[in-house]
Formats: sequence, structure tokens, C-alpha cells
Amino acid sequence: MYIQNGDGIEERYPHHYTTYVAVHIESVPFFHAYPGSRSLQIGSRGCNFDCHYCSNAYVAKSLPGEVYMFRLAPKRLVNIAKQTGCHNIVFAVNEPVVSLPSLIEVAKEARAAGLPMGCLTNGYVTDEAVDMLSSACEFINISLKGFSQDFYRKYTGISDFSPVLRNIRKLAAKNHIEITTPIIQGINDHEIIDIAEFIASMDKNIPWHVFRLLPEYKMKDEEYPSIQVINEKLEEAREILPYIYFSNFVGSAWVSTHCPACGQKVIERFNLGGCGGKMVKYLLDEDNRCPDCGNQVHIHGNYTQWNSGDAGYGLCSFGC
Amino acid sequence: MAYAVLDVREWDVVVDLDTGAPVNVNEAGIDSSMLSMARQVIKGHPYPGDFAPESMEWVTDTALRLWKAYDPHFMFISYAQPGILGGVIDMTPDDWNDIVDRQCKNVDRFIENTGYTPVVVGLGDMVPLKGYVNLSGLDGIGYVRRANRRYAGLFNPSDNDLVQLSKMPGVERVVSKRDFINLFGAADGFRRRFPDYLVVAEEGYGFKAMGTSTRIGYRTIARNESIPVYTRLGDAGIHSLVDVKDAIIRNVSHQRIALILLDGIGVEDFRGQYDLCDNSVYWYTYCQGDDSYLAISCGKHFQYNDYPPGWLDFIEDSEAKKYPYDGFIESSPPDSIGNYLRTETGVTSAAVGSRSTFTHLAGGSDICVECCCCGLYNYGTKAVIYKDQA
Repeated sequence: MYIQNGDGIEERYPHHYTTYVAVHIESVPFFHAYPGSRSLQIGSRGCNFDCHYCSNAYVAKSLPGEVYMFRLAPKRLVNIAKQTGCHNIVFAVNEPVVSLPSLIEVAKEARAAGLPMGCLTNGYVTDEAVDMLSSACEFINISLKGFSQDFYRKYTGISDFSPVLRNIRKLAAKNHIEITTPIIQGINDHEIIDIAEFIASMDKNIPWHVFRLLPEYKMKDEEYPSIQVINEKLEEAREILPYIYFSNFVGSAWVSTHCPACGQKVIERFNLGGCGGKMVKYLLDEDNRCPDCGNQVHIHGNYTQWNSGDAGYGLCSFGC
Repeated sequence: MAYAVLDVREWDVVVDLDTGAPVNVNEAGIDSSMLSMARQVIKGHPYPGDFAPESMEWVTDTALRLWKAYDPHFMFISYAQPGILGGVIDMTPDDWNDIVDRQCKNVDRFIENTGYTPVVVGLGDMVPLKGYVNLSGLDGIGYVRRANRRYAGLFNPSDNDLVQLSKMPGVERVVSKRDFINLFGAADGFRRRFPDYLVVAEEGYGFKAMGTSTRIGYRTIARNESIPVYTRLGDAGIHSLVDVKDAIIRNVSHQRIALILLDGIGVEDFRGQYDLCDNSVYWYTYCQGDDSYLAISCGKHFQYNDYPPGWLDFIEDSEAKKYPYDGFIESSPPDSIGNYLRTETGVTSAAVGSRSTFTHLAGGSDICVECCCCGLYNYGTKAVIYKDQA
């Protein structure tokens, strides 16, 4: 959130956050960045979209004063991350671009402490802002909500989604990116192949997280999409992209990574409820190669043990 | 081996509760009648969501369906909606009365239809939220598990932190691990996990710290030193919430009993007659989280279960953690009432509840049906089955 100050604008609530919590990076979700690591997830409030199905509308669409905000200086946030054994910091919950100057300061402090920064974004930002985001964040999950002006206009409140596509291309060239698309049966499921082809046109190794709509906010009375129907459409897309995940429902059978060359399951995850997953088995070698065929699987950073950041902070008194 | 059926409407999967891995039902030799029953019950009764008023009817309808299908001798039922929504929705007194009435009607409907002898426990009143104790500015780490509202863990505090906390509005007390253990005693797991300090909020205050929900809060759990209990067991001898289990075990051989837990309901809202039972140990009052559920089901106070308030649960959530679908817990409590009845008496049991995993963790029943909700998001419906009972 910004206010005009003379000829410029400034952030209205710098360094104010609604949450800070340690999570699995896979739950954010990032499935191909620092697998196994512990992320300090932070978020502020506000968004430049008005998605009809927003799961976090009580934060993203809240007014100042409606939700509780912590004031946490960048150094303090980084200290919290280190004290709690987190390996990176991820800005999620709401659109980070509404708090961009704060995010950049946190990223600088985090980088100095050896902690990479990531974020989730809807990608609807200016050319200048996307450069700033790209410099601040090593890994970015961009929500590509659909693939038509009509969908974006009706369900997100913006009239032109071409900046989103432009920014995805730009970020894909510089950063590790993953893409997320909530699918609403009968509304944007016919765009599945278009989206897969768009992703493949940049890099077919970009992971794509397809979410089953969770009826919330303005769509709370909608039906839950059929998993079978959506997954049948995804089968065709899997011919185009090797890393397609289908989740946002408990027990999903489509959150593990298979080697694109031999089909072997190389990273096993469970969906315990929520949008991503929890990793339970990492079978790639230290160079992220398939143990069966040696094929390189696209992973940003290395596998990181969940508890490897705990040592020295005395948070765990029984040896984990 | 226990297993779970996860149903997300028109699609389900069976998983091993211990490892979380999907199960090939035929290879695992799972009793098909039990599985078939579980699948039919949850397929016919998808959880409508915590915010849906019908979630109260869901509990009763599902419990009646399960009762007809399985005919258990003991049932564990939990109606969680008033406690859950009371905290995060700004309700008028009329709204609140409506929700309590709805809960009461559903309890009555269940009892009238089934004829079980009820033991109904109101887990305690809620009070308006006066404010928050913000632990984010401390040098150490303040941590609150989402479900626990009056207690926060504090790790590695500085001397200055302790001075600051002593002056913070809303802080009732700050207790060191040593002082706590000296006074209360503790099970090994509880002792290991206990934070360096436990911070206790005054009545009406909640915490803002690492791990707390982003939802807007309106009410919180009162400092309920006693809670209402209604039973037709006669002189049940329920003087404390930890007496409930024993009262049921003493009577279950000659009558069918339903233990019914009501979140968010204390003496202010309990409809009908009740006796009071103790809901505290020393200065600790239960606050309707796993503390209350496990104390009632296992018949022992919270410090003799393994999970203290304010512990850093995420530290143990590695890839190797067992029972991944059970949240923070590392195994099903062996002394839950359902497990006790199954292993020690052969009495059949079933559980239904809208308090997510607490239903099967505390219920421990042969078959348990619950919502798969987290953070008030509705991810599906779950049935947990213990194979050895099948």
C-alpha cells in the first residue's frame, strides 16, 4: 500500500507484517527450489487484484486496522529466521508488490546473512517493479490465473493480463520460477493446454502447480471441481510439460516428482491439506540426478535437511 | 495398522496413518466391509466447512449414519463450530444464541434417535477479546501453536525480555521450565518439549507471535476454572475433566454411552441441567485445544500427555515424522478412551467430530469420521479406521 508524497510515492506501512511462521518450502508451494528446506513465511496485507476465489481475502482485501500487524525490522526478521532454523524467507499470503520497498530491504538483509529470498506474486506489476522483484528474490512463484482477457476481467478485476505474461517471460529468463493456476471447472479449465504451451514456450522445465478451486470468498457457494475431470485434461498437458502438479486437496496423488526420462518417482510428497505438499522422500543424488537413469532433474539449489539450521540455537532440547 | 480414507468429493484415497503412504487396499488385506462402510459414510456426508451453519447438522447426520452402519457401543462426538467461529466472527448476541441453540438441537436429535446415555461436556465459555500480547519484539522467540490461545512458549529469552514481559499488559504470569516441572511434574515427552518459559495471558487476552493465525479475533477462551457436565449415568463421580474417562469405563459394560464435547460452551451457554467439574490444575486452566481433548479422553492431566503448550512443533516435522496426517502428534495416544475400550474391553466405538484430527486422536475409536480442516479451510472429509478391529 502506498501514498503519494510530493512527486513520489511511499509505502504506507513499511515493515508491517500480518504473519511470520516456519513452514515447509513445499507448502508455499515451491517444489523445485531448495527442496526440504524450512522457510520463514511472511506476508503483509493488501492486493492489487480482487480474485473472486481468494483464500486469504480476510488479509489480502482487508482495510488498514482490520488485521493485526507486527512491526518487524529487516534485521529482526532475519534474526527470527536464523533463530528458528529457517533456510530462506518467502513472502507469501498476499501480493508482495504492495510492500515492495520493505521486501527489498528484507532481501538485502537476508542475502547478507546467507538466506535466499523468494515470493509468490500475481505478476501484475510494472516493468520497473518486476526488475526490483527479480533482483530481490531468487525464486518466485507466479500465479497465472487463466489465459484470457475475459477470465481476468471477470474473476480478478483487471482488464488486461498481458503484463502478467510479459513479466513471467522476464522472470523466467532471470530467476527460478514456478507457476500456479487455480482451476475452476467450466470457467478456465478449457485454458489448460494454452497455459501449458505458454509455459513450454519459455522452458518446459518450469514446474506448474494446478490448484483445484477451493470455494472461498465471492465463490464460496460454487461447487468443488471434479478431480477426475480436471486431471483428465491435465493428462494431455503432461505430454507438454514434465512437472505438472495437481493439488489443493488432501491426499492428492499428483504432488510427487517423476524423472522425465525414466518415469521413476524421485521426490515423494504428500498433500496434507493445503495448496502444496510436504516432502517425505528425496531420492535424487547430490547433483539432482535420477538414481535410476542419471537424468538431471531441474532443481534450484540443493536438497536441504529440515533440521540442518537448528544447531546452535538451542531451540530443540532433545537432539533434533 | 490404522488407515485413513481421505475423501474430497468424488475422489478418495486410502492411506496408512502411520506412514501417510497410499495403500493398495487389496494388497494390504484391509477388511473391505469396514472400508466400504467408511467410504459410504463420508461420501454421503462431505463436510460443508467450518463457516457453514450446516456443519452442526453434519455432525449429527454423520453420527446417525455411522451409528446405523456400525452400531457401536460407545460414541465420541464433538461439536466444534461455536468454539471455532466464536473466535473469528463478530457475532451479535442473537447470532451467538442461534448457534448455541442449533448445537443444542443437534445434540438432542442425536440422543433422541440413538438412545445412548449421554455424557455432555461443555469445554468452557468464551469472552470478548480485550487485546493481544505481542511477543514479536522480544530477543527470544515467542511461539504459539494455532490451537492454543492463552499460552505461549518462549525460547532463549534475554534478561531484558523477562523484564519487558513482567510489565506487558495482558500477561498473567511467566513461568520457567524448571518452576513449571517442579510444580506440575510431567511426562518425559512433555518435559523434553516444554519451552524455556511459558507465558500465560490474562483472561480476555490472546497472543500475537510466531505461528499465530492471521484471522481477525473477536473472542477468546475464558479462564474456565470449571466447566459444565451433564450425564444420566447417575453418580458418575466426575469432579474433574480427567474423571470422565473412568466414569464411562465403569458404566459402559451395562449401557451404551455417548461422550459429547461442546467447544465454546461453558456455564453461560450450557442449555439445561449440569454439574460443575474442575477444568484446572494449579493455576493452569484448560483452553479447548489438544489439552482438553486429550485430558478428557486419556483421563490424565495435560502434563502427563506428551505435548505441552507453546512447544515448537515444527522442529519435529521432518521427512521422517510419522503420522503425517495427524498434525503435530507423533502417534495416536495409546490410552485414549476408544483405544482403551478396544484393547482392554472389546467394546466397539465410533467417533464423529468437527474438530479435525482431534476427533480421531482423542476419540481413538474403531472408526472415526472428521473434517479435514486447517486454518478454517475445508480440504475434505476423513475417516480413520483401526484395522485390528475390522
